[in-house]
Amino acid sequence: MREKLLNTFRETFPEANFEYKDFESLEINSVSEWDSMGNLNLLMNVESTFDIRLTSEELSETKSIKEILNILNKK
Amino acid sequence: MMEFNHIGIFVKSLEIGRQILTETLQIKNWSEPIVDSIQGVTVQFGYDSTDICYELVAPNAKVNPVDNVLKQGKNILNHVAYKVDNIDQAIKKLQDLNNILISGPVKAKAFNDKKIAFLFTKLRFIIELIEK
Repeated sequence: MREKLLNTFRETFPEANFEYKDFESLEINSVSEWDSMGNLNLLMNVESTFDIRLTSEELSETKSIKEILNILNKK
Repeated sequence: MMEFNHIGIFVKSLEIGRQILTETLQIKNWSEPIVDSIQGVTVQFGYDSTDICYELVAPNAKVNPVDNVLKQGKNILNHVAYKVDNIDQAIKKLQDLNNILISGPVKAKAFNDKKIAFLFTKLRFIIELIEK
């Protein structure tokens, strides 16, 4: 799941520069492309990749890789 | 009822945007530039021959929604705007349809201090609501 999410993240933010080991500590604004609009694009790509539907609350409040992984673990 | 109002385009400067839209789409009757210090932008409205309204949105503060959009080259044709009777009810209705509130409601000088709000749709474009 982590690798699949990492691929989705890289596809969403191809210019993001970060260490592989730090992936799970990334959050909104920690890479330049990941702003509020980038966050919604990332979450919609997560929906598509993992074939899940996020609630409006999840789309509004999820802003870190840890939180995305928590949601994926619950779905 | 949602009543179409304008198409919003993000530009580096109003002067460049105005020149290009005037030349390419014959946009005319430009309004005076209006500073919106809440959003950190200056906006200007122009009209095509069928009265479709275009809004140019240029940055005027360090923190603004335009710079990152221009840098990324995405969402430059940024939003479609609709006037609504009651913005809170319209926001709730769109949220119930799984659209995400990304900004507002806040007052906007460009619309005589009426409230505006921005929502992100599942088709990944932005709707601006303007209270009548």
